[in-house]
Amino acid sequence: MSAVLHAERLAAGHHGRPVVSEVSLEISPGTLWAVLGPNGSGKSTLLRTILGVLRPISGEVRLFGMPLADWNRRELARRVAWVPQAFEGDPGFTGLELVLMGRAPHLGTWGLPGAHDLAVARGALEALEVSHLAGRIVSTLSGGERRLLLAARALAQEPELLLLDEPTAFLDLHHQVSLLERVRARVNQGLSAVAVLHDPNLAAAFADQVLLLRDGRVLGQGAAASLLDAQRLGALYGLPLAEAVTAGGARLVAPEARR
Amino acid sequence: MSGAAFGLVAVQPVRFTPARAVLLLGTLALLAAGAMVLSVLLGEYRLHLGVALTDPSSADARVLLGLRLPRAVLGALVGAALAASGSALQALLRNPLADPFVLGVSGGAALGTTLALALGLLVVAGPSLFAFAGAVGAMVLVLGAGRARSSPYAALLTGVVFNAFASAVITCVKTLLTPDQVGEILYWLAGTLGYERLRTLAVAAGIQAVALGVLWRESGRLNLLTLGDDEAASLGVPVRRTRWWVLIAASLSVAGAVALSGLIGFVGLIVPHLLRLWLGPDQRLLVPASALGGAAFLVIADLLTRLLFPVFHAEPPVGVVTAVLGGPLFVWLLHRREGLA
Amino acid sequence: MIAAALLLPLALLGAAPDAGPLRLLGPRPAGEARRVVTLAPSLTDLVLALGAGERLVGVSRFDERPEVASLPRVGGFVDPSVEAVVGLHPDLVLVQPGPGNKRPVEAMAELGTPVLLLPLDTVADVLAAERAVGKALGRTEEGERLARQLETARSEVRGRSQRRKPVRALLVFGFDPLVVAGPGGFADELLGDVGATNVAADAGSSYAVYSVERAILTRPELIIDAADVPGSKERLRAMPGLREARWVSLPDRSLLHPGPALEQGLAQLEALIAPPPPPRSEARP
Repeated sequence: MSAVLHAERLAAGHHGRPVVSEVSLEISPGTLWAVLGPNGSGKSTLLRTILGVLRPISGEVRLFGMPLADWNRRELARRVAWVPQAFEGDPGFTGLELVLMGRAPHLGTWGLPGAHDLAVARGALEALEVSHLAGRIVSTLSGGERRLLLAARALAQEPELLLLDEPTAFLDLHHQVSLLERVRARVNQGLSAVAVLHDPNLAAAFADQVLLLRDGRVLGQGAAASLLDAQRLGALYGLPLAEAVTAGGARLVAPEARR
Repeated sequence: MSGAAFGLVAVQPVRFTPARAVLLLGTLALLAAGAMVLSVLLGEYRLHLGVALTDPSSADARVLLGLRLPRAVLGALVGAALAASGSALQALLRNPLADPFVLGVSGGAALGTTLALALGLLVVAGPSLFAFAGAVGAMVLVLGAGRARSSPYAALLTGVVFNAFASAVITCVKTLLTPDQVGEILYWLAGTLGYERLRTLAVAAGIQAVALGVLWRESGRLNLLTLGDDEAASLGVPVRRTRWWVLIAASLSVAGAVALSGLIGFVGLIVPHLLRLWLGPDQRLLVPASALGGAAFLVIADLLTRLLFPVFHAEPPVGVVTAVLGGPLFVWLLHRREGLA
Repeated sequence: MIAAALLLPLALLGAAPDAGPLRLLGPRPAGEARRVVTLAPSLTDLVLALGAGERLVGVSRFDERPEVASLPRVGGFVDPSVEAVVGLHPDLVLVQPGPGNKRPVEAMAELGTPVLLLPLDTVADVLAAERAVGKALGRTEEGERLARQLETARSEVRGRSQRRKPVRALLVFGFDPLVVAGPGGFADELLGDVGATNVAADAGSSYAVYSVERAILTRPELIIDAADVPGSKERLRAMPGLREARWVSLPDRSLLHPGPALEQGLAQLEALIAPPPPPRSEARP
């Protein structure tokens, strides 16, 4: 089974200046990767480069075995979906219209959805527990609700690789967990996903593999279970951290208590 | 439903379906047709429709076919062009205040006619030729100069700068002309609808059909483009190519309109906004709806200018009427928007 | 490249737009015209001078003559209303052609209304117009008479002016901006008739915007005010080079209406040209 994503010594950045470099990783089908790191460490830039909307400065990126540059935009959009950080479109659209945009790579010039497309879109809304937002105008929704719609749109694309840029921002705890649970469920069915997260505990709970970025360099990458300890994370965030284990066996990491 | 009344909930979640499009566009088409019929029937000359239709050599028939009908058709073409291009440009530039002249087309057309007037070239050919040449020249300059394809705002900025430049040159030229000549330019610049020959109208209709057709074809991708370049690309939209097509088609459409009618303001700003309030931001619906709504709006405005003739012994330029109608309408629109937000 | 492209046209600026020759547009009128529409006051003057005033059915909105006060107005120079004209069912429309009214006038002709295009830039134009309109109205003799009257008046005035010293004169049509009679138009020709040398002979057209500095440099002896609004006249009068000149005003606007009124205008001009009686003030109404 070929890798979904293969990156080798990838340097990503803007206008020729790398924000992150020497990234080499391989993502297999059915794995969830978490990308962790302090602000400005190049996480979003990395995602954009993998997505193909930002040109790599150096290094190689292959998606589904083919070099990134060789991919046709539309073809790629049928296999890779992106949940961006913010919604910048016209807020006059309804929730369902927004999610239906995710079907665009599968549709013709007019993007007229068929019954199947509508079913997929509604299914995505339901999976994220936001069916009630279908008829709501986006301008009336909160930041969190919009994030969920963006995630639903990405799911509606029916991708094989899902890229999530801080998907849990603005979401309450319930929705943070349920979103990641849904993604995890799909990953278990064969989807690959890369999620930029800020909460190492969520990463520990849901991710298979992690990529730790600091100052534009890879501080570590590998199995979540082995990498997400207080020491390494403390080095990552530049902050003393403490570890604990819950009764249920979940390992937690939190900043040292201050007195 | 109270939710729908306050705009919180859409009447239906998906607003662009073939059935709904046919219904809405059909209604607007009827409106436009009605406006044209009204425009053809009313005017300074007391038209006897029966005579006009039965006796082809009568003055009535000549007024109907030689004056009223061409003018109504022209009004419809120009109104459609300005409103549809306005809608597309507002989406493309993600700027609700973009009007169809913002890309420098208006500056080019005005400059073309002004220079032609000053050089005495207007006896060779009417202002339309020079206006079109100027508009196309501006289009080439603005779209070629910046990284119009790559940046959403490059064309906008270049256009604004070009308009300012053209305005300065025109002011300079005006000071060198006699007041009579200045009067002629001012009249044309204010935007008027005249009596064009069938041949001219046919060419204009052809240009608009192609340009607006392209805009409508791209409207689906245009919707996605409003999400932002990166997001649109991630959804498979060929961003640069789409932007290019929309810019060219909109510029060509506006050039074709301005060449015949001068700078008629507000149509390209008001009509898309009004329709957006009613129909939502989906350009697949808004582009054709704006075309039809713009046609109706301008034809009615032109009818009003002709009905005002007995008052002033002159037809005010239609650009004046659209401003007088459009200004308060726009303020009301903003009011309503603020009330909702 | 753009700068060069712009410099060239700017250098050519001021070229007089050629109004085109006197000609008929549209169908040839069957007989003499009985229902006439004029689109300029000068042409109304002409019709009235030919004694055919009762045939007028429509005039421009700038017409102020009492004789036509009750007639419907059909628009202005740049914006005649085609419908209003056609609605009066005229069999002849008299137009002073210009770039602005080109299309409406063509539309009238295409709709079957005979249109006579009468440029009125030079005295020759006026003479031709008098004859042509006279013929179209079936008043050929009157038209011929008017034309000959003007020609005679001109030659008499020219004769008298031979005995006087030439006067350097500037004729001002407007002050804001300064618009003067340049070379080639009827005003320039009449100035020549009365023995005045037009100091603005280097202007770009017969009705030209002139720079104040250049006007000062020409050191005119006589400045004729033919403007309807004083504007910055007083300021100009105070300028060196201009304040030494004799300033006179035209008693009325006959000199501004190319047409039969030119005869009167010529007489006024001659009266103003003659040097004033000693000590008293300038000839001013």
